[in-house]
Amino acid sequence: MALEGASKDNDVKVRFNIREGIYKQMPISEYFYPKRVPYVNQGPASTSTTVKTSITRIDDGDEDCDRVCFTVGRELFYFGYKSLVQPSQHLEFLDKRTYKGVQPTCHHINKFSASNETVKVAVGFTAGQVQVIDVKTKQSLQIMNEDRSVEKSRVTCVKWLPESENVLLSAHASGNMYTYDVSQPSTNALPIFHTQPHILGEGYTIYALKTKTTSSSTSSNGNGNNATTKNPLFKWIMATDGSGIHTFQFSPCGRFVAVAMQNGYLRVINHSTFEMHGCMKSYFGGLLSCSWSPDGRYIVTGGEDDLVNVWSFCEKCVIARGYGHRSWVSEVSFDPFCCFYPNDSDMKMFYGMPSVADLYPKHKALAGQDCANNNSCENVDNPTHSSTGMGDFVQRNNFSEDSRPHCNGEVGLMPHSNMRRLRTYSNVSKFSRLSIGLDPCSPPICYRFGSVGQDAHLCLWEIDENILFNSRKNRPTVLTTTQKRRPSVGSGGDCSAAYNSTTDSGSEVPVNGSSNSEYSSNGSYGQYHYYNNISGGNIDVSQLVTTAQSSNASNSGTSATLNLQKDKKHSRQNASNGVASKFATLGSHERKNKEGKEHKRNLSLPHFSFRSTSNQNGGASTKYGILNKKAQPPQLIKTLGTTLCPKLDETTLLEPLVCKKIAQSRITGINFMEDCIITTCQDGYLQLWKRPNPRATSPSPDKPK
Amino acid sequence: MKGCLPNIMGANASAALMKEIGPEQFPPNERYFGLHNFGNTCYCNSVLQALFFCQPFRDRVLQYRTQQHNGKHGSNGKKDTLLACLCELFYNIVSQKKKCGVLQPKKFVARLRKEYESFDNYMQHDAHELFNCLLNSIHLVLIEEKKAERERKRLEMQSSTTSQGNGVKRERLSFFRSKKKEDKDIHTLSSKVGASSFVPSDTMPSTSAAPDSLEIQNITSAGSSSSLATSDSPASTADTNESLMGNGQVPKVDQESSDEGKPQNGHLSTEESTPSKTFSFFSRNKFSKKASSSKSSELSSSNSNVPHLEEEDESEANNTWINDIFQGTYTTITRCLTCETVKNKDEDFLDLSVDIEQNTSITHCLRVFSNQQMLSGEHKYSCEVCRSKQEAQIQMRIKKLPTILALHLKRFKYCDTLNKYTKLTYRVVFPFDLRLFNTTDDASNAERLYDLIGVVVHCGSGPYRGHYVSIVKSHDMWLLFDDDNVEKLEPSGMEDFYGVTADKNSESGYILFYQSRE
Repeated sequence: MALEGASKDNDVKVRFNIREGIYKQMPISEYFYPKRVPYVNQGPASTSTTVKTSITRIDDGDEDCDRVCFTVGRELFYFGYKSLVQPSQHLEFLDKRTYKGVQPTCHHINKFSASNETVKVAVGFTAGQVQVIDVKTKQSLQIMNEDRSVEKSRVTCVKWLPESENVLLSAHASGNMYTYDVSQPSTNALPIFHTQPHILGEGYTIYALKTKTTSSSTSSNGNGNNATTKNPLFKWIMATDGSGIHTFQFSPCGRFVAVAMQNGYLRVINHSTFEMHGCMKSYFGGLLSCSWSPDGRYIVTGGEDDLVNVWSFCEKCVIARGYGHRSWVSEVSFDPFCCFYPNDSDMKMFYGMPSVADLYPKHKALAGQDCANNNSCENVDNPTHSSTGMGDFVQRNNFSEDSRPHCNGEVGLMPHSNMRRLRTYSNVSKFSRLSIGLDPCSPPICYRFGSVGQDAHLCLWEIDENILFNSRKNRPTVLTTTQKRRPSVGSGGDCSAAYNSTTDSGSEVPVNGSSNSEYSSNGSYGQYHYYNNISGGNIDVSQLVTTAQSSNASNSGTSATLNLQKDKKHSRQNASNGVASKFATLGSHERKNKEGKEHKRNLSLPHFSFRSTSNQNGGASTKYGILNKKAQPPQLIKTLGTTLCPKLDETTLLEPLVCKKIAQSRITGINFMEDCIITTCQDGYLQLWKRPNPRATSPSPDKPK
Repeated sequence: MKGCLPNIMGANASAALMKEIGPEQFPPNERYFGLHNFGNTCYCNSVLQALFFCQPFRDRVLQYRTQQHNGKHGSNGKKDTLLACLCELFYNIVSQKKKCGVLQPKKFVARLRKEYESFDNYMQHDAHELFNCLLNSIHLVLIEEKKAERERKRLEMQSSTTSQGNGVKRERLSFFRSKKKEDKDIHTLSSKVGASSFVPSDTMPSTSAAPDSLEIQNITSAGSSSSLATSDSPASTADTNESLMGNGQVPKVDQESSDEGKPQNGHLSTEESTPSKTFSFFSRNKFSKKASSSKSSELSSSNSNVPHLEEEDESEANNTWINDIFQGTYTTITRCLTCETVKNKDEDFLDLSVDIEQNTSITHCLRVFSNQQMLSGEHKYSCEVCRSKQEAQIQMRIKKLPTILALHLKRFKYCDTLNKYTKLTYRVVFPFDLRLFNTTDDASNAERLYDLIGVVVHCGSGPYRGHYVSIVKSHDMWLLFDDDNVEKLEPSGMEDFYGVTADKNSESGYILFYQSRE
């Protein structure tokens, strides 16, 4: 069977060719996987854990070094990256553990608190526990949820909050997330959360821990221990339909967390204020992975529809999709070493693209008004956390001058950058930039990201200014020639078409969220679209600046006065939407702060509509009652064709630069290092792909399509 | 027949299931009953369970049963069809007092074995083949009944009219309405009452009125016929309209009015126009329509008053709720590379049999299914324009998506070297919801979202040795039906059924049932 346009290669590749040269698979340290046989799970597939690799650059007294944490089966390994790439030597494990009874599912090294004496690693388990180990002292420091009283389902992702020594977030297969403060001693007391949600979001709810307990509510467990617990600080219920969380990622600036879920939603939430910035839906199926671009402007996701999606943080819409994989996309990651983009001011001037910092300037007012307990979310309090975004971030991350993948103020440079190559690049793209109305002198933009899938393939992708900004204007449906599926597309921005359809669909949404309607049905998701509508249908790139700014004005004004005045009506909403104002009013009406606490009833953000629906039981007590175990499938019909989930022909369709089979079994992870790419295979081993040496190969000026 | 030994699910197991589900969470009107295995009938049990939990199908079956019992369809000889046995089984399940237990589908299996010789043994069979046979059988029974019903009504009307004019009208009606040939029952019925039978247009009705005189004799008969209009049968409505045609409008039997563009309902092509697609051994698309719907060409399209209803009636005659639920349409687009002519051919399907590859998703397999292929070499395409064999490009796109999309994974492949069929235990993942990418541009419901509602799973190493189980979704809960045993399944447990690469004995999804959300 001859398949047009695809080679039927069943061979595993050990090298692949790309614009900048050839990537070759490197031999790795010989004793990497001690047993030298592929990892095969004993028992049914559903009990197996995914082989996971997490790499963090820390400063632990040795020279600045990348540390790798690697779990396979019941074992956890911790070692230095450098020892991995020395094939002739034994792999030195700095720490190694074998677990009984439970298996480790995910892990994260704490960069911020790493020092000579202590390096903390958080590990999540199949039974829902989170353990903090110190790989320097080899001790187990703490175990959260040890008796599973907080949560029973497996931990799917655990990460330390950015710039936090003690606070971590764990996500579970049940759809719940928990914020833990590991500096607080863990007790066996059952945590009790406030009945009223701390934050009632669009599709999610946050509950704060009740720390002051009355005698009636003090839990006493079997030990007769009446001590209350200080953990978890928050419980995030991210889905009402029991849909699990696959992963979450913090933004480079550290303020936001993007949560990828089994129900296909990606929610980008400010993790200190718990407001949702934006949301995206997969074409179908769950979202398995997400990754932020180094500047925080884009998030790429991969899912069960075999597609990768590129979502714009500022525009809050999907701008491109990519098809290349033959099965589910297990992990996506931006390659920070191959991303070129201008500094913030150039970005704004030429492309009208604000930065995250522009959209969400830091205010000191925020610092004081934190979470309920006021002692977590240290990142907000941290005085070193400035508001200029990328530059500081880069420095804090200790990227040395040569090797930092990106920086403020100049175009990002590869470690062995070749300026000649860059100029060539910009010449070629000049014409295309002209064609979409951009200033030909505008600096080139190029983001590179990679994806790996259950099809055992590795794909590398690139998006440039043509794709990023063209999608708003001209709307080429496909960039490929082999997949001409829906040739005709209306002129004028698809995004605007999407916005328009948003309006249309939105108008059908019942204002009251009628009492019978299920919470998650047309009401909420339909409402949400309004608030996504930054540009309100503008398609002109040059106007984007104004629109962004105007909506920024509204948005930022809101965030500034964020949680201070509970009775502040959001006067600012997207002006074009009369219906939106209805929601707003509704929202504020709903937002009666019953407990008299002033803060954190995130009132004002327009994209923050409140669920006003009651569940089936109705009644005041269950007004916010969400914990309906019964799954209520959201009305996804309304999401297709909107900014949440554009139709296939409303966004650009990408083709990968490279799509190669690299193993016999599925690939579960991809990490980009300065000198190589690391892929993790479910068989239990790592592969290293050495980056091409630019001096050896002459750069070709082809631009990717 | 390993794995086919029946387990007796006693009271303990029922209790265990109840506990697992939780008495409060147990859906109030639902029953979860395992089906006893008579030795090799797991192929049958698994499909039955999957279909039982396919709500549109179940509803129709139970509705049919109710109508049966109310005598609507007549009670002669209808009790012993496979459909009737299925109805009894489904009814049996829903009317159980207990919520869990085991039933023995004796009648159904007996009838199945009687009707289809190939199943009448103790060998292992293909669940997909059974699925096709069952749908086919039901469809034919329903078609028969429709015919019989129309005939019955026709006779009713005939006997109720007294005027000659009406008689003429009746004849003309029967002239127009003749479609099915070689239908024994109908002929028998007709000859009993001496009326003209439903015959093809080239034979004349046998009553006294001159068949050539197509003029309308009597408009006054419209009055009496209109009384029949109150009947809800489409047949009588058509009668009325026809009689209201008025003078001078001679309905012509337009032989040329072909059914181009008319969907051939319930029709599965028995031959594949793409030779490169491999057939699965067991499924031969048994669903061939004997009665050609091209008979609708007899209907005059120049007949302005009647046509719509008449045509509807025609296509109605070939349409059953099997079509409504399972049928979709795909278009084969062939492009001759020499003369660039593009030819589209529509075909209906009740399920899609897709080839599978290692470490892929069902989405990818469907893409490959629709991929553009070359017809060349031995398989050159006979181009009508070029009047010779030419190289051509061919691809398949789905034009109309069905309500229930049944996807058959072709896991059994004939291996030349081993000279037998082997099982492909490829790992093919399938999501809980699905959209199709391989639709035509003009497909009306191209972006339909489907939810997974059931999976028939094959366990074992080969087509002749193995076991079938079913996974179904019921009220947002997943259940595994393994003959007598019923267990609750966590959604995360679905991963066990994608297929394991190395393990020959793996449990792998075989038939996927997706229901459209709209």
